[in-house]
Amino acid sequence: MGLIMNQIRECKVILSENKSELHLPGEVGIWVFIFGDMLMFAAFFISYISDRSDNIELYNLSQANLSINMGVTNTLILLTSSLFVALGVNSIRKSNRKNISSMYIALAFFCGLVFIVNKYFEWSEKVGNGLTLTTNEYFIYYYVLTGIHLLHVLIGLFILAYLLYLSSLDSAVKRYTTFETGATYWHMVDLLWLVIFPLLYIVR
Amino acid sequence: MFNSSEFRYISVWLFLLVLTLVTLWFGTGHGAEDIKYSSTVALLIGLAKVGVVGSVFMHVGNAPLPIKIILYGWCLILSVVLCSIYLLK
Repeated sequence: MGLIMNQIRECKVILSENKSELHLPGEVGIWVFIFGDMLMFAAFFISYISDRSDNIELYNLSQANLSINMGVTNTLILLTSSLFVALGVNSIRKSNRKNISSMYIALAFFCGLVFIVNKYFEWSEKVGNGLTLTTNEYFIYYYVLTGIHLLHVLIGLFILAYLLYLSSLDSAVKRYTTFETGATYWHMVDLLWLVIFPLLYIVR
Repeated sequence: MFNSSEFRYISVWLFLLVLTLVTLWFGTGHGAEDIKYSSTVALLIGLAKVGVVGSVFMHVGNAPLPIKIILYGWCLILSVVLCSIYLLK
């Protein structure tokens, strides 16, 4: 991990000296966090697909209780939120478009809220049908994976709220790296869901 | 109305929406008679979308090499490992 951090720092120094077009989006620390988080989720994904192979019938029967449409809706919501965040950060680069940036970040925040509300209804329906964390192995994975991801969404909403506050300040343009760092985290939340969705909802 | 970078983001977002609908199509039993193949395609589309989001929205395409290795390597290794276990185990 230390080696990677040093390499990234070295790249940053070399790049700034050469004034190259290459650019590290956000702070180095967020990439170290993302690397760790993606490794953790990769372990979950491999463990899921491996355990699934040992009990395919149980997993397929359990998966039939999920709504693919709900999974698709959540995917579309997160992709749209990522678009808004990208547009928001892009706008902050242009100091005369601060208000537009606030609007985009607010829209991304709203998408995050809708995702959480959807997840609440989805979980409520499952629990109402007696499908809980203790039902079987599939639902352990279902609740743990979507639960940890939901926690990431919640943290992301706090970050977006902070960016929304920053975007209202006159000094917003000077804090561009902070915007990039927050945006990078939110995009990671999105891309993790892009793998969780086919794994839990589609792979049979 | 939109500048070039905004237009690029919106185009990529539309592309990702289409890929999501293609995933849905495969996920509902279309596209291949064997469910294993349609599931594999859906999984690979998901991982390809990760690469696209990383490359365009996260700007990994213009990032230093270690960052590219982390993201694209994650997609590639996970694609190989997940599909291997799914298809072979």
